[in-house]
Amino acid sequence: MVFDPQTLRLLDTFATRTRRSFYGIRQGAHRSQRRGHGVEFAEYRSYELGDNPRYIDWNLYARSDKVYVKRYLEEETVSFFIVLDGSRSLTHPDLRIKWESAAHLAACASYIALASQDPVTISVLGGTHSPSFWGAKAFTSVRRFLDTIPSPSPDSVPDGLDIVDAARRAATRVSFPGICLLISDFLYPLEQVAAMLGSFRARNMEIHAVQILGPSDLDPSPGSFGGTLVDSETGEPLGLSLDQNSRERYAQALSAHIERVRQHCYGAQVQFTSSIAKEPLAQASIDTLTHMGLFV
Amino acid sequence: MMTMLGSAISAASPWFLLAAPIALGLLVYIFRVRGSSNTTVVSTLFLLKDLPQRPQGRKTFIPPLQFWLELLLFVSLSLAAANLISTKKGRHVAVLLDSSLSMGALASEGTRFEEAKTRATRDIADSSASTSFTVFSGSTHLEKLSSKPTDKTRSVERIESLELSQGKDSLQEQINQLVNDPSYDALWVYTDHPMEPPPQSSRIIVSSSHQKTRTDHNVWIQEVSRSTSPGPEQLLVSVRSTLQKGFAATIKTLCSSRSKSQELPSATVNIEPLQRTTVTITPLPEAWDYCHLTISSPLSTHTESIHIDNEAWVTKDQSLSRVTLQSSLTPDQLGLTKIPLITIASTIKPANPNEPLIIHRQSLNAPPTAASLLVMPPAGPLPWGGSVEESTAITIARWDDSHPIMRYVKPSLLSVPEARVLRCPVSAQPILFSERGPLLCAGESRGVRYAISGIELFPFDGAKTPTLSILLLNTLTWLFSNAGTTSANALPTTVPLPHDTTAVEYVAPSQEPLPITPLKTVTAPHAGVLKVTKATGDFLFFSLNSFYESESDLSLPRPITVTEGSAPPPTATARARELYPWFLSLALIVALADIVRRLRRRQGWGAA
Repeated sequence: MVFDPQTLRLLDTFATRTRRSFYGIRQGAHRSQRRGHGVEFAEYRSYELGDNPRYIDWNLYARSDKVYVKRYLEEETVSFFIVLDGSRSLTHPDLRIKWESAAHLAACASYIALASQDPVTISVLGGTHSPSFWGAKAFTSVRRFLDTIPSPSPDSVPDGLDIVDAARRAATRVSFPGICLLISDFLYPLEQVAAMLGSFRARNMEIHAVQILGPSDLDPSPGSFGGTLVDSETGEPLGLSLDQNSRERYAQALSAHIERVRQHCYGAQVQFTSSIAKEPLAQASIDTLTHMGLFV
Repeated sequence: MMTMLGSAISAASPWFLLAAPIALGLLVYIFRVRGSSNTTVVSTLFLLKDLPQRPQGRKTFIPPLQFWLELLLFVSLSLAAANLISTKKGRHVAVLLDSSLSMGALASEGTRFEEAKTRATRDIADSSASTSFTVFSGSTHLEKLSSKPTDKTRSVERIESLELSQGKDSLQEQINQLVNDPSYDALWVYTDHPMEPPPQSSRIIVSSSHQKTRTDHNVWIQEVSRSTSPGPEQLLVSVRSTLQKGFAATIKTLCSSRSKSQELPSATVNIEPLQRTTVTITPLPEAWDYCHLTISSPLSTHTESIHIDNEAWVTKDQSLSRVTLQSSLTPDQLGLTKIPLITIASTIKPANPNEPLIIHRQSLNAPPTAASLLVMPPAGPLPWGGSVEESTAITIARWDDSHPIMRYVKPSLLSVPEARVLRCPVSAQPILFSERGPLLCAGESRGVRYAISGIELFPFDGAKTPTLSILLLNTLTWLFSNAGTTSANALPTTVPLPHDTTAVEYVAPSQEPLPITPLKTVTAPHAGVLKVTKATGDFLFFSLNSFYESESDLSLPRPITVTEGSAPPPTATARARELYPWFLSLALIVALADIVRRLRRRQGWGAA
């Protein structure tokens, strides 16, 4: 994965904007739920033994003859939990553009987060471990990690990945609630999508779901004279000839599915963004980041 | 055989045409097999399963673009292999209209030229619809009026747009050229020349609108020159007529200078029957640049056949344009009459030691006292020093671009199989070199310019050998560039101009600017006086006259004899055209388009 200087300059202009505040691990750039010694005033509290006398509001004491301390909102880091759908519907060699696009988007989001000193954890559904990264220099490690994720060979037997179970196991690796960036094609039955999102919602995270669609998702036509369609997940074949009418119906069905996912996300307070995998990846990723609303 | 767009199309190897339907069937089969073996990995099978299914056997055959491209490729190849031949139906007629000066003679209905146009138009209109025509205008040069054969309507339009030239005709050569061209089924000639003997072949039809006979009366100016010695400045005018009896004619002279025009007293001349009569016009005004002379004959307007040749122009400074030629060949043979820069004064000995010289293949004992051009001198010493070697085969090796003689000359294009290598005199600069030594030297000795050429510069034939022609014109311009006037013998003519010319225009008979070519020449279409304006503000005047005795003397019959050469008579196969290059080109284009399409699809599929 190669980033040209122009793309990096563009990414430098982005900043993270969270809707919620979280407890962070250390001092950072985001408003935290923790009260402390930040800049923004939060509340008054009665002085208790052990409080630092520097924070006593002496003006208030003069007026009320009671001792209060001023409390401020702490500014801390926010944990980024980037989840990549590692199922064959993205990693299959024939659909590789989807994976490349998803990985590139994950890398871009990591770059922005790491530049703000926010910790980033990347988890690939179906993967065995979820490494964490910290600091701007860790971006090289992020790229190296994403590059090392192998794609299954076209002839390999489908592993029958249970995406819901994989999502549940990935969610258990979340140490601190924060932002969850879930990148998938969401081309599963709605129940599975709902279960997958529910796993992360249960961890009290701000979820941003990014749907990556490939050209074959938009037009799965196997050829002008028909052919066999093979499911990327299960390897199940389906002999089908798509004429113009069938294509239109398929397009309607796909739109309806996406709309259902979008509606579910809306109800579950999940920010949903749909994008199409295309070259050049950098431009596509920046377009998606702009539309997500997480980065400004 | 099949007829299409007026052409019969046949195939030399018709069996190859069967390849086209075979290719069609094969492609359909291949595409069906290709389709059935296609497997596409998708992520949306759960959506596709819900679509209404159609049985595999009832698949509609909807050929993609690739199918059509491949089919077109195979069909093109099979058609190319079948070697289709297109044979044009109908006759192809060459129509040659004599547009020389004599065709301007009066006839019963207008001029001979107008009559010829009417006849040609009528003949074309009467011909069959499948006949195609190529119209030629025959004067000094044979001019083809259309690059491709045209139909009746366009041919008539072209004939109606034809204009009479002021040149002489070369009809004999032009007819021979067209007769021996197998691309024409017939040749229709419209001229005033008689055809003797009448052509035997039905391919040649000569329509003589008015044969030259002694009944045509014409009076014309044959030559005009300015003379300063002996005595005062005077104009010498030679006139002739075709009348059988003597008569008195009047010559009017109108001389113009930059500031004013002055009409001289009319001169009366007694013209002897069928003889050249010279009249002297003197005195001339003190200041004049050019004069316009007109001869008025006692013949009435309706009796005088050609009016164009009754006038002539002469410019004042003409002495320097006279060049003496020393050669065993005539100026005509050397093509010098085509060069309006010079007027050949003598072909034997220099009448005036101050007159420039052109010495062709002759020796020179002493350095001349005027500018001189030595072309292919015999082997031996040169009078300025240096020497000439025997003729030998040469290759042009290098040249000196900086010399004015080499301006616009591309010696790499020169094809000179044989030349004489020179050892240039000390006072001369070598300009053009072969591997063995210089071939062209130019220098100045005692204030007199000279040039020696070891390569044959003659005959001057214009565009046929453009490099040699430009080289010769440059050399003449460099040697005789102070020549102020000229007279052309073949209109339209190309006049070489001085380097620093800024504008050229006709000042007589009417004001008319002319475009200057990058080679600093100008094409003068008709007789008159050209005014050349130089960068320094000086003027030069060139007089251009159309003196053609052969055209003006209507008493000369000058019959044309047509001899059909050894060229085969035109047949259908002569104009048959093989179409396989077109089909091969089409196949190549289709193949390239298919490759480009595949590449673009491979690179840009993500854009979907």
